[in-house]
Amino acid sequence: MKKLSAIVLAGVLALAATGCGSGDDTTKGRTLTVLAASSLTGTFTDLASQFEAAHHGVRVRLVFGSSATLAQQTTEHAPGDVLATADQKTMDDAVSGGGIKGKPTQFATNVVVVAVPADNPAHVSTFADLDRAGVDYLTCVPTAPCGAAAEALLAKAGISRKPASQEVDVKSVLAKVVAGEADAGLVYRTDVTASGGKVTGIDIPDAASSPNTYWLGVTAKGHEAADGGALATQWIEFLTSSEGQAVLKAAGFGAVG
Amino acid sequence: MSPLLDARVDLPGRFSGALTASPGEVLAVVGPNGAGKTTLVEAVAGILDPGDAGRVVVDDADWTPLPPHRRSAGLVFQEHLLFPHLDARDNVAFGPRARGVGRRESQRVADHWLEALGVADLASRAPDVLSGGEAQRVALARALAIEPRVLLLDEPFSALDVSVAAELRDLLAHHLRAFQGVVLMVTHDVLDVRALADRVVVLEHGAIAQDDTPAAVAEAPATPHAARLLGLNVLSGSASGTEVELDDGGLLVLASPAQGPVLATFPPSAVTLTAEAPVGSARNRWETTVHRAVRRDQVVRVHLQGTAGAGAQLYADVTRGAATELDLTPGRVVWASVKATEVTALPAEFVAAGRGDR
Amino acid sequence: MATAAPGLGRPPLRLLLAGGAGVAFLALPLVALVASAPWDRMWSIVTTSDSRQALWLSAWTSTAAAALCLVFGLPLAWLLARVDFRGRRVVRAVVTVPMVLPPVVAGVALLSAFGRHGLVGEPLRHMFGTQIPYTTSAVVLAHTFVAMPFFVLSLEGALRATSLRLELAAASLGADRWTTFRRVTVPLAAPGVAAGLLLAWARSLGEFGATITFAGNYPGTTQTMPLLVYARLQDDRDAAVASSLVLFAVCMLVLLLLRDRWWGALR
Repeated sequence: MKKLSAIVLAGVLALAATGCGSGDDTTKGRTLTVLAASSLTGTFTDLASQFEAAHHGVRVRLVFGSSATLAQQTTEHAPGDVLATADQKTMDDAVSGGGIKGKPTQFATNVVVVAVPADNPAHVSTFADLDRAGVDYLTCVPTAPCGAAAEALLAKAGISRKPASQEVDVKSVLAKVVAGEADAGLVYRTDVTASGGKVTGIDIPDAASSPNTYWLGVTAKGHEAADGGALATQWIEFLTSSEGQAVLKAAGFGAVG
Repeated sequence: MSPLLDARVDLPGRFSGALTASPGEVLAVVGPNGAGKTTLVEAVAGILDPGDAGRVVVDDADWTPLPPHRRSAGLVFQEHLLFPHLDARDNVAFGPRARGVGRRESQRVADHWLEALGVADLASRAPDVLSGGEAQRVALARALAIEPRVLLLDEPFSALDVSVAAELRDLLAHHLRAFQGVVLMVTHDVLDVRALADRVVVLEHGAIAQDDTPAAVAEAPATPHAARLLGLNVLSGSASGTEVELDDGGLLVLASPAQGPVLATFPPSAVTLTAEAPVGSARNRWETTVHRAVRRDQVVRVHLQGTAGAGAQLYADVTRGAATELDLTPGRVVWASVKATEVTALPAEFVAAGRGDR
Repeated sequence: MATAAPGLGRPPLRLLLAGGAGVAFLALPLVALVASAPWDRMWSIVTTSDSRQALWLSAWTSTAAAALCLVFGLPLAWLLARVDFRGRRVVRAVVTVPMVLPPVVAGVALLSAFGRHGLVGEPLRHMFGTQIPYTTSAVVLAHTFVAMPFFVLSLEGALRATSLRLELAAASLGADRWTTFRRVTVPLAAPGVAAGLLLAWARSLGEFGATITFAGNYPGTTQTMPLLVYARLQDDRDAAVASSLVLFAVCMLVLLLLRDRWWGALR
């Protein structure tokens, strides 16, 4: 009986402790929570270190996921001070859902390309090759920015064959192409750059004329922080500054156009 | 004097009947399986509702609406049901503690009862290391420690070895002499009845068929079950090899050798009655006088007395025809004989002569 | 060939083959996992702050969930095992549902109840300003929700197996139902409780669908080990394998540590 009581006590204390600690993290110890589309994984990690170095006592917590999911979370006032989406639609959804306060800022563009594994087993060399029988290619789900863009490009090029699978975000597509579980995948140019040679990128004609635009916005939750969203705004300013833009460009993102 | 226990159970299909008992009385409840013995005991214990017209009154207090833990009824089961996670002392102390007695006082009471039942040295042992007899002693101590007004025993010795059972039976007989409550004992063993019971309550098909002293039931059993159970001939003596020197004088011959104090038993059906001294192979034969012959269906139970060297009395079952032929009327002298192979010898430390010395 | 029942002959070949195939099927992915691990990078992956945070969070939340299962599940199991009340079947069915519900559906259900606009969540928010989703408390709630049936049903089975006659003996000695519960039922059911807690803990350790839906994927506050593995899977498959191995090792360790104490008692 005593042993059980001890376990119960420990468990209840644990719950209480986690409950206490799960409040608004941004108000204590100056943590900035950034919700970012998964295509920004590599670049935002680098940018976060730079930001922390420039702002003493600040910790940047990065939460990656699909733009659509994260936008939805901001409308539910989930923890997160800044939202970075991979297209305008998801940011608009966040704004109309009340998740974003103020006007969003565009900070980068990205172009969808075809990624094939380094050894290119299906011998895919052009966008039209995806229409060839026997070629398994992947896209993101249409609700994700990269999926929406892919869908539009496929329709424009008149490719009728459906993808073998639709992944929840672009990193999943990339991972499967890297692992050789698909012959090709529609990902961003930045993903190809980030893969470090594991995949080769094939340009899609006309893709550059309708790139994905990347947007940043301070969330409603971020505005409720003790500093009123000042730190969040500083993050946005950093990303649109020449230093931030340089990092983004080096990763393969396009400039704001 | 109003009875201590006044119980009526009205559960048609299970058991319907009423009985009363005075302080200090020990009632043996006998009957075949399904006759309602368990129902009766469970109603008194409070596990079962005694039915719309039923009631259980003890010491003029109405127990009927009370749950088991509010009654003062000690239970001893066939399987000892000691709490496996408590040692013997804590098991016996459980009752007093549950009833509000302080810890130290409960342990003192527990030690007292363990001592009384001869297992004081096992106080710190866990139930799973106790032998059957030892565990049942602890179980008895546990029930007696709450000083119950009613003690309910459900075949308390049937799971034990014969000799162990005999020991416990005598120990219980000793303690029950001073017990002022009522004892209801369900049993299938005639030795229990002989050693402990003041009355036998015979159940059959959910009703009370007979409620009388053991001797009366043995003599004129109302049901076949009672006839088989009671009426068993039990002779005490001292065995050396295949011969038993009977306490009442005379010799009994066994088929298998035994040693030391024994109870020699044989059923009434094993007794042959003849008008003249028998000439057959039966090694045991006595001249005896018919005391009563009671007929039930096709069987006549003959109560024989003055059986020199055979415990003074015997029961024999004979057919109607034989009874008529032999003219078994009171006072008639006949010869009773029993084959040695029909006699069973049970070891016995004490001589359980019945409750006649109370 | 050794047989469990000597004298009944050799075990049939088709049973051996089928059984062997079953074991191979279960063992193969585990062996492959170990074989494909990036042993050279293992230490660096495992000691990243993300990994350490996720492991700590997983252990913490699973223990809290197990404790909640105990506090609420033990009385519930007792009621189901010992009290014959109307609607007992319905209650048992309700308790079983989270066990067969797809975890992500459980997450949606939790949102409907405790989300910002949830049945309980909305009044809670208006009254106290508290918000449950996307917090560590949400993780604990999600874990408790999916693990509770395992605890309750396994404990109910153990309680039923405990002799009712012992409780009867206790009652005859003067113990009311609460005293009997405290001094007889619970101590005797302890091995069953422990086994149930172990099951609940293990189930909660591996919980993913309900957690990611209801609590989100926040490193440090809601990113438990399974969520970390999922996130890593999209980024760095080697790191995902490494994290998976850590989780696998923790489970094996727990099972090994408790095996003798509880499995033995169960038998």
